[in-house]
Amino acid sequence: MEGFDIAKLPLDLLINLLNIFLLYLIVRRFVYKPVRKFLDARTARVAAAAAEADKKSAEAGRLKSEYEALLADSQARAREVILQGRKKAEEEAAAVLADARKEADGQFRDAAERIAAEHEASVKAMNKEIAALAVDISEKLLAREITERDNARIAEEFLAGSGALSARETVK
Amino acid sequence: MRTAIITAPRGLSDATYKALCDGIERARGESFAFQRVDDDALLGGFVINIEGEVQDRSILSQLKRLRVHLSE
Repeated sequence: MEGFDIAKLPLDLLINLLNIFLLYLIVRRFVYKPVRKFLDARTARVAAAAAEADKKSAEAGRLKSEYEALLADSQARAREVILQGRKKAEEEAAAVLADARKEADGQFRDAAERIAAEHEASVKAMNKEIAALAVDISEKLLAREITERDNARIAEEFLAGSGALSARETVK
Repeated sequence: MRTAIITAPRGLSDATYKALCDGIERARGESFAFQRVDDDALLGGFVINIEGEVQDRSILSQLKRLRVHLSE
């Protein structure tokens, strides 16, 4: 090996430094910049992906809120439909019941009127029968009991009514 | 002379019959040819028919009127 030449040291150092500098420039130009560029692109891609993810997350949140609002609205409408249906059913049941009661009242009233009419007819028929019986009995009694005096009195009343008799000419 | 028919039960005496005939002639102021018809169904009293003009004083007709009145 050659001995260390001190006189050449600065030149070697200079050359090394120059080599290093050239190496730095080369690395910077051909390695560092592309790699930096690559890394920056990757960082940008990652940032874009994150932004996109955030955006999609926000969109998903919005859609979820919309869905929940729609769901709540549908449930509210369904409840309303059920309530309306129940109310309508109750009203129809009440109407049917009222009609039934009205019909029953009408039938009761008709029956009461019929009974009263039948009772009145029965009483009339009975009175008529009693009257006929009374007249029949009277007829039979009178057939036995009418005397000549009765006939004479009937004749007197008839003649007095026609103004034919004076006080002297009463029937004996 | 017009005809007057007196319908009466047999129980009507001749005196009452004659009084009736005389009374009718006096009341009407005319003479009549009287005919007597016996009908015990009248029960009492009499019916006078002067050529369609009828006066009913029989017990039977009164009972009939009573029957109608009671059945109303």
